[in-house]
Amino acid sequence: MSNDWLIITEKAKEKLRIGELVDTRTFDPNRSLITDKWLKLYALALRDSNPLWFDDAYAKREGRFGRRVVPTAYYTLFNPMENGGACPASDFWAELHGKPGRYWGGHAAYNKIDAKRPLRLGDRVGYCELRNRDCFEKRGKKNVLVCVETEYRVFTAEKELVAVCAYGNMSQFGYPPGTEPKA
Amino acid sequence: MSTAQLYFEDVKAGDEVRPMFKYVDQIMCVEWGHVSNNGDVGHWHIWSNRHKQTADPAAPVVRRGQDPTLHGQFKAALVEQMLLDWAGPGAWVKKMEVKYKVWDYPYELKSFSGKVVGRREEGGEGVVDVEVTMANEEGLVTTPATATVVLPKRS
Repeated sequence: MSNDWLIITEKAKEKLRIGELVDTRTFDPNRSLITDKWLKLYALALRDSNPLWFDDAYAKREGRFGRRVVPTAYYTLFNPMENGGACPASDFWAELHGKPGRYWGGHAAYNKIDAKRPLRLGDRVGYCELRNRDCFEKRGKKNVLVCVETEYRVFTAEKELVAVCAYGNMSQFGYPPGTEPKA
Repeated sequence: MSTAQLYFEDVKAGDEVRPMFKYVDQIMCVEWGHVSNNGDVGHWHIWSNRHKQTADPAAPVVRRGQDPTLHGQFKAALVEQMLLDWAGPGAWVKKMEVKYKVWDYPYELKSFSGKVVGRREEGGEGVVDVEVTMANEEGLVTTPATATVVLPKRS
């Protein structure tokens, strides 16, 4: 078998509707409101004792924003693929698997965050817009890794864009018979 | 953790980002699962006995399929913690890209290191680009990352 094969087919790629708005997601009201409790629990889970997350007076005096804000990585909690049940590339994965169904990729490959401003206590995240940006494959030692990059734009309840994030969702596929790399 | 402030004028390309060492246990995975509303059992389930395996430093490390793995988001959050510990309270991590190359497991000491790869002014603000790596106890880089950090200026 020649070496010019690809796991990602044109038909599968069309299913991604790259660049188009494919889904909009909202969040549990308990989670979408940025509160003192969730900020503290976030910092505690990291064992991060930075007073920026705990002390209003310190944040006002020393912090860049003059008040307590949440860390930039907090935006990953509003990734609808991880925490909202969204699956904007489901049809793509189903096509690659060759059978109908609702599929997610295997696991997270990367996160990208481009914050416009930090979330402040009292902010409410309104919704996320999801767009598939790209897909690519990489031949590994044992498997072919297929990755879909999905953008999620985070908006507040007031429809202010606060972050443009992206999530790489990866799955592994076996080599086609006769193409496995030599050990 | 240091509360000393780093200023844009004091940073140059090639500077080292202060390393951070973090022991991660399974309780942290459970807490993170709660905070992030991620109920994926593979990240926090309680059946792992890896902590028993590693209690004896002479025992070989055996990783099993059912051992929990760290959330990718959790690793991104740790990278930001390292950056803010280094840069101080007046800094802000504006951009991040964190790649999850290799699984990470709890009951290990994770090592974070990094360096400044660029500095520039952007819209009147001092901005530095940094490269960070997170490595496991075997020294294997599991999580390379890049970030853009906004630093305060002296003037």
